[in-house]
Amino acid sequence: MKWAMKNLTLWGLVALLLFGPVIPSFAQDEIKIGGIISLTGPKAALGQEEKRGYDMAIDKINSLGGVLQKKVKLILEDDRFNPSVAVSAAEKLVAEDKVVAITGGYGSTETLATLAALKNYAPVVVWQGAGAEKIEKLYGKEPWFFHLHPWGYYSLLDLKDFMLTLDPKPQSVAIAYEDTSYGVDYSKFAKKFWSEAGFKIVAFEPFKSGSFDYAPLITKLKAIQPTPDVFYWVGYVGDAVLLIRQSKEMNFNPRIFADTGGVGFPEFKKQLGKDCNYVLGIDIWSPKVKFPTSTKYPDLFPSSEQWLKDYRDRYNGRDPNYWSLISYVALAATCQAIKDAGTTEKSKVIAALEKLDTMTPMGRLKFGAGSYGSIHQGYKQGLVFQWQEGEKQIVFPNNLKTGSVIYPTPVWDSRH
Amino acid sequence: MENFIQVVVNGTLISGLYALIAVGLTLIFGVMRVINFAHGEFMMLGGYTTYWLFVLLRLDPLLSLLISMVVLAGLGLIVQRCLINPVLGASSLNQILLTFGLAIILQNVAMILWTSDYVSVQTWYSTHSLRVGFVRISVAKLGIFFMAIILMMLLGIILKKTETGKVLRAVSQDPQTAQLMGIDINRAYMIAFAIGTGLAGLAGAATSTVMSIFPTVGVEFIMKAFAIVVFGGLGSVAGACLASFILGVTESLVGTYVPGGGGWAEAVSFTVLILVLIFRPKGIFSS
Repeated sequence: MKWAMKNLTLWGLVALLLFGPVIPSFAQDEIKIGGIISLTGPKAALGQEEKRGYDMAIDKINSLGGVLQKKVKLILEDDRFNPSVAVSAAEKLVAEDKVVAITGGYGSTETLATLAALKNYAPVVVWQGAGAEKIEKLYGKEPWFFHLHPWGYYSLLDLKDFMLTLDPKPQSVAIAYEDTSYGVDYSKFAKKFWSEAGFKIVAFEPFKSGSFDYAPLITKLKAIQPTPDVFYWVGYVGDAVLLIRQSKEMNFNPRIFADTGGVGFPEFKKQLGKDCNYVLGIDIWSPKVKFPTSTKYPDLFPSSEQWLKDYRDRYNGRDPNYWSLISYVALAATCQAIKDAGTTEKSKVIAALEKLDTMTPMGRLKFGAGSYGSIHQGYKQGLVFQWQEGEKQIVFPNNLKTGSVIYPTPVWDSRH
Repeated sequence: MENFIQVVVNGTLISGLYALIAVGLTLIFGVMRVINFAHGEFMMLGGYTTYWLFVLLRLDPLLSLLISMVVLAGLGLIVQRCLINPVLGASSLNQILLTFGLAIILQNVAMILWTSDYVSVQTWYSTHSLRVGFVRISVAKLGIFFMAIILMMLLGIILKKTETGKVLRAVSQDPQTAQLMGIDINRAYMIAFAIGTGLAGLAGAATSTVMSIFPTVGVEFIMKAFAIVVFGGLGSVAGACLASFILGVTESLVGTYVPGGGGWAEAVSFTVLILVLIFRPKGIFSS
């Protein structure tokens, strides 16, 4: 028995010496792409939404034969919505996993930290999240950085154009913003664009995202006389729900409630019920706006209706928000570019991404110049929507609208 | 002036919720000398219990509040028995690490079971408010405030008048002597922990009617609860109640009247925490 054990160990060692070096070549049969999203932590709901898009994309790509005859492996890292965790995740992906490209992102603060860490390595980055213009200014000119999400200021220009169509034209705007890069950046542009367009900014108030009481903020805004025509805030979905709840509680009645973040999520309606009605927001995608199948890559980028059906079938009838779709596009476009390049060599993948011009379920994707110096900006369009009878209706721009805006918002006491 | 009254009312109402969370935490510390970092997660679980009772059985939170409290007290008993008891003799660092680990596990379990989506219970009183003159008073928060007052009074009576209360106080003052006097301190620990987690469950249930519940909701609350507990004096129930009130109103005042106050209001609790730790480490109300 002892002899057998000894022999086994010996043969085991011999086998390890012989076949050991072979093992890494299995690993090379995969093309590794990194993904950095918040799978846990305060913004996990969004990270999970992004993951759903990734999962769909990775299955689709591999079912189409993978990339360069190899299977694509997505290495997901959880940044827990924490900049320092995001930095170590980014470094791990580049240094240890040696991924070909990195996708990911949601919040601007972690994105800034991540990109600062990645700058030394300059890998191919196809980033679906973050809208702060600071990121555009700092990294927009980097040849390795591709950005899909419209920069925040596009939404604010869209909202401004929309407000100018209203009759009577709103006069005063109260702005509240969550006090990290995301809110600070959006609110700064809101203030700039809107005051230039002739709206009077009567309040400009920061708040802490995730607070459990916004009564002080609402009380402060309510004390402004006359009541501001527009109440615009920048925050996440939990903030949006609580701000509306407490506006109702305290009978705060601006003519317009608008937000460029949280109000777009299904949870906003789910938690508020009919109180979600009349609130305005911006989406960069709506299931109501139809985009055709890509002529170049029909399997990878089906029509928006088909993609929606695939998502619902896969996730038991759940409705997606655009974060799953934009994550799908980020990963799919990255893989397609590697395929088009015919190699994982960085400069060629970058060239292929620059050449990419295709219809996607979110609209046409062609990386081009942004307004503040970036060279690889993907999407720019915004759709102003209003919650009406628990449904989002696109109310602006006019060529894509699915309903007319209800304005002014009925006062709380008159709603049943 | 109208505005000022509204601001004070806002602050007073929110302090009810603060008290429910902080008192459980301070009771556990007072009796067991254990800082329960998982207290916020017990609150989160209380919120989910109420939410699911509402979704599955259409049970109104007013009724399910008590169920959540009992369920969480029960869970507290199990946790105390299986996890806290073995480390009671260990250094406080071990205890902190244990409860901290427990907090993370509970958050992740909640995420796996119920995803990270925000949920809340919508009842007619969730966003309903009473109009008293020019002041608006949230019905749900008013309910929570009165419930907190009644519970705190009840807890006060239990601690002062009943046999169990005397046992808890004796153990809190001097566990060794209490043991020499024939008091079963393990039983006292169990009771204190169960009351504490039960109150956290109740706070969670109440929270689910006025704001969203999600797996990490407890984190925000626990930080505030720590500030209140330190402010009121570690282990002091009455101190915690008073500190909740002062903190609630101060936050409301800062949030409304200081320019950019929304950002500063959140800092109030931590400024208080730091100042108290430096100047009055035993709490502002200790003699």
